Amino acid sequence: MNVTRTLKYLVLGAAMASLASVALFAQDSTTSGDIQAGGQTVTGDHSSSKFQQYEEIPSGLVLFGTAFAWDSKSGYTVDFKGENFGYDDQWATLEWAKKGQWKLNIDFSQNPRWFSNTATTLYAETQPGVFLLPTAMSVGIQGGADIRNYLNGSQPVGLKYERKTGKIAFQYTGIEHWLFKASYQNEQRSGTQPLSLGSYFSVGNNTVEIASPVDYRTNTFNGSAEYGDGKWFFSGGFDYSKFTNGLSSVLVDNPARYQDSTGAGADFWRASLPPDNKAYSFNLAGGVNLPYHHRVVANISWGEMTQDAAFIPYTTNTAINALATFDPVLPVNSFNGKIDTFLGSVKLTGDPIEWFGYSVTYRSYEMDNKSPVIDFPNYVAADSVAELNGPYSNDIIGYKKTTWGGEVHFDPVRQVRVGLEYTHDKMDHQFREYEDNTVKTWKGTLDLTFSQWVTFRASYSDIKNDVGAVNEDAALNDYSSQFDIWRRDTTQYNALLTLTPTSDLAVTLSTQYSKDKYPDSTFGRTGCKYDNYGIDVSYALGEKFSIYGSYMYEKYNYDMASQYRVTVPGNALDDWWNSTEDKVDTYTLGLLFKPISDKLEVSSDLTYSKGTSDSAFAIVPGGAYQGDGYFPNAAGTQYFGYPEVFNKLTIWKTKLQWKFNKNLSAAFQYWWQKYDAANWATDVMQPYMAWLDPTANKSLYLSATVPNYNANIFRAYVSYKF
Amino acid sequence: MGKRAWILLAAAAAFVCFAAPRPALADEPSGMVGTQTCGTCHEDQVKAFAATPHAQSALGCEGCHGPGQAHVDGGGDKTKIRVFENLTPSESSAVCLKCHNKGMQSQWIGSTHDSRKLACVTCHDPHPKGAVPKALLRKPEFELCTSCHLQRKAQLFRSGHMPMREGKMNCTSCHNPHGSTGPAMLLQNSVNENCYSCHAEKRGPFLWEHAPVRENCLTCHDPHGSIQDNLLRMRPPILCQQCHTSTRHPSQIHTPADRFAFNQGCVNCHAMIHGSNSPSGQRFER
Repeated sequence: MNVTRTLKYLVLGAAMASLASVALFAQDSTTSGDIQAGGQTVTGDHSSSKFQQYEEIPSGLVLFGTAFAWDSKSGYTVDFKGENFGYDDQWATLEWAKKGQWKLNIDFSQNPRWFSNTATTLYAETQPGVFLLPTAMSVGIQGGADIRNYLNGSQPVGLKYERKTGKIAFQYTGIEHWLFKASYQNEQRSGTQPLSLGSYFSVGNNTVEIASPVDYRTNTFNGSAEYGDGKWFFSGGFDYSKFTNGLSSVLVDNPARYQDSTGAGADFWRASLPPDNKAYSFNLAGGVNLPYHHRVVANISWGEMTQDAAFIPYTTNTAINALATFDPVLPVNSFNGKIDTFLGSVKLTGDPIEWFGYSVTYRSYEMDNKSPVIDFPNYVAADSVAELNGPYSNDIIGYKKTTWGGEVHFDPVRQVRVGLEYTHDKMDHQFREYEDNTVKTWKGTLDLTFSQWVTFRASYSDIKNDVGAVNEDAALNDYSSQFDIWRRDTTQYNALLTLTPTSDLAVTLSTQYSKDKYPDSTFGRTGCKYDNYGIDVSYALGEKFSIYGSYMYEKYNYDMASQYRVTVPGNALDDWWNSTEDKVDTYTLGLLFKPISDKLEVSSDLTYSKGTSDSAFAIVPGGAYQGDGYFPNAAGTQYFGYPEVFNKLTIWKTKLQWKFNKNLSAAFQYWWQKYDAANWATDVMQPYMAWLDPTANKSLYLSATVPNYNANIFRAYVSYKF
Repeated sequence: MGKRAWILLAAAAAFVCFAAPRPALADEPSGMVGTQTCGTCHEDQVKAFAATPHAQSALGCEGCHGPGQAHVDGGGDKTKIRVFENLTPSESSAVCLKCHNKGMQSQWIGSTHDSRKLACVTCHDPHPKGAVPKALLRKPEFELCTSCHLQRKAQLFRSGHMPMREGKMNCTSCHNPHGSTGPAMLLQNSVNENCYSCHAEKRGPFLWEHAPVRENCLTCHDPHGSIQDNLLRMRPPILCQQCHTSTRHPSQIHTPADRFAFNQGCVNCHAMIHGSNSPSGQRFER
C-alpha cells in the first residue's frame, strides 16, 4: 500500500465518519450498511497485461467494498457505496437526497487500460513528448552499423493509461411536474499508449514505435429543465464538453539519421497529437398526448464542434525547409475547424383502436462541416520527402441524413402482433465518392405471446442501398470501392423464442442471419454474411438449487477482391481474392445451491469464449499478383492464407458463503481465469523485426505483446451488515 | 428541410397540440381505500412496496392499481381493480407513464421496445422480493438486456471487450432502452456523438479527415466485443484493403512476415487514422 492509497483510505474513513456522525446525531432515522474486507492471493501465470486490462486484481488485504445508508423520517437520505478502495479500478458514489425534492450525487470512478506490459524502448523521454535515442546510435546507424548492436540499452516501459472520472450531479423535483438537472464531470486520462511513426518508402523506409504520453482532460457540463404532466412534455437542455490535450505533438529521434537530409530523411520526426476541441449543443423537445391514443413528439437539437489548435510546422527536416523550391511558411497558423450539428425529428404515434396502431417519423440529422479549405502550397511526406506540386487541400467531410418512414401493426388477437415498417434514409455526403446514398428498408415483424409462457419474436428485413451521382473529385478511380456506402442489397432475419412452461424453467432459442451483396463491386468488399444460433436455459429445482447455461455459435464471412495496378485498366491476371471467416463459440454455465437455508450458499459461474479467424487468398493461376514477398506454397497453388488467429477466454468463479447470523457472513471464492490466444500479427513482435522482414532493418518496435495467462485467484472475506 | 422550416413546423405542431383535447387516460375516479386497507389481504406486496421509491407516492398502491373501494366491496373481485397481468403492454405502460413521462422515459411511446409489445413491467418489478434493486429492475442490467439480446451477451464475453464485465460500463452507458432520438436507441443523436462522449480526442474536427471515420465509427469497430484487437470488425490489413483497392501498396497482398501486416498493420505508418491536424498529415502519418 503506497502513500497515495493510504491517503485515499484516510479520506474515505473521514467521509464515512462524517456520515456516521450525521446518522448518530439525527433523530428518528435508520442506518444500514455493510462492509466487505478480507484477503486475496493470485497464483499461476498472471503476468500478462491482458489479465488486468481494465481492473486491478491485487494480492494481500483488501477492502473489497462498503456501503452506508441513512434514512430519516423527515425525508432526508444518504447513500454511500464504493469498491476496491486504493486500487486502479476503485469507485465510490455518494448520494444525498430529500425524497421527492432533490438529489445530489457525487461519483468517482477509476479504471486502467492496459495495452501491454512487455514493451521495451531505447528512447528516453527527456521532456514531455520529446523522445531521444543515444546520439552514438543514430551516428552509427547512419554510418552503416547494425541496429542490433544498440538494443542492449532497451528499458521496459508500461503501455497503460488510467481514466479517472469525477462527477457531481444535482436533480430537483420539488415542483410538481418539473425536473431540473445539472451535472459537471471532470475526466482525466493519463499514461501511455503505443504510437508509430515512419519514414517514406524511398527514404530510409523505417518505422519506430514509442510509448506516447496520454495527458487528456475532458470537462463536461449538462443542464436541463423538463416539464411533464401526463399530457404535455417539454424539455430544454444544454451540453458542453471541452477536451484538452496536455501535449500537442511528439518529437521522435529517427534511429537511422543524425543529420537532416533532403534525400535520406530527417534527424527527428514530429507527429501532431489529437488537438484541443470543444463541443456544445442545445436541445429542445416537446410532446403531447392527442385524442384516440395518439402522441406527437418533436425534438430539435443544434450544436457545434470546434477546434483551433496551432499547427505544427510541415516538418522538422531543416534540409527540406532550406530548399529554395519549398515554402516552409504555413498559409495559416491554425485550422479554425468547425462542424455544426443539427437534429430535427417529429414522430406521431397512434393506437386509435385496440387491434391497430401506427407511427410515422421524420428525422433530419446533419453533421455540417464548416471548416475552411486550406490550400497548402507544399507538404512533407513523413518528414522525408518534399511534395511540391501543390496546392494540397483538405477535404471537407460531413453529411446530412434524412430519414422518413412509418410503421403499422395489427393485433388480430390479443396475443399476436404483426408489424410492417418502411424506412427511407438518404445520406447526402459533403465529400465522398458518391454525392449521396439512399437506404430503403422494409421490415416485417411478428410478436406472439401465448398463455404467459410462450413468447416468439421474429423479424425479416429487406434493405437496399442505392448510390447517387459519382463525385469525380472524390472517386479514387473506377476500381475503388467504399463498402460502407457502395450499392448493397441486404437480407436480414432474426427470431427469438422464449418458453417458460413453469416458473422454474425458462428456455430461450435465438437465431440471426444477415447477408450483404455488393452487386456493383468488382473490387473491394464483394460480400458479407453473418449468422448465429443460440440457446439459453435456466432451471430451478425448488428454492435450494438452480442451474443455468447458454451456448451461442456465430459465423462471419467477408469476401473481397483486389488487384495491383500499374496502369488502368489493370491486367486481370493480377487479380486476387480474399475470404475471411471468423467463428465464435460462447458457453456459459452456472449454478446456485443453498443446501442449508439462510446459512450456506454455493454459487458457480463459468464462461468460455473461443474465437477463430481464418483468412485465405486466391490468385489467378499463372497470374502475376503483386505482394511483399510470397506466401509459402503460393507459387504452386491457388489457395493460401494467413495462419489461423484464435483467442480463448475462460472465466470460472465459484463462491461458498456461510452466514453466521443476519449481520455477519464469511465467504471463500475461487476464481480461475485463462487466456489462450495466437495472433500472428502481434505474437512475433520484438524490437528488431528484420529477422522477419529484412526491409525493417532500421525500424525499432516496442515489442508490445499480449501474452497468454492462466491465473488462480483465491479470495476470503467477511461481510458485516449493520 | 431548412432550420427555419423546422422552427415553423415546431410552432405549428405546438399550436395544433394546444388545441387538442386531453388524452383518453383520465384522472382516477374516487373510491380510494388507502394502502393500509390493501395490506390486510396483500401483506407481502405491501411490505415489498413500502421499501420501494414508489412508496413516496401519496396514492400508495392505488396510484397504479386504481381505486380499491369496488374491489374491497366485491370481496376481492379482481375484475374491479386494475390487474396488470390482464392489461395489454401499452395499457400497462400507460399507467407508469402518468408519472414517468420525463427524462429517460420521454421517448417511450413508439420506441422500438414499445412497438414490439414490451411493457415497463417486462423489465421493471414494482414490488420486488427481497432487496430493492436499482431502478426496480427484474435482473441486473446486463443480465436483463442480454436475456433477449443473446448475441450481445456472447460478444461481451469475448476477450476483446469494453469494461462491462469489470463493472465500469453497462448497456445504458450508451443506450436508452426507453427510446431516444438517436439510432439504435443511443443516448446521443448519432453513433459518433455517442462515441465522442468518452473518446473526445477523436472528435476533432481535424484538418485531414478520414471520411468513413467521420461518418460512422461502426464502419471499422464493433463496440459490443470482437475477437480482433481494438474492437475492430476485421483485422488489418484486410480491413483497410476492403476499401483501398486501387493502387500501390494497399492493393498488394501482404504476407504475415511483412511490416505492412504484422503489429498494427497499416496503422504502423498511418497512425493518425482517426484524423490528423498536422499540415503534413494528409496520409494520416503525422
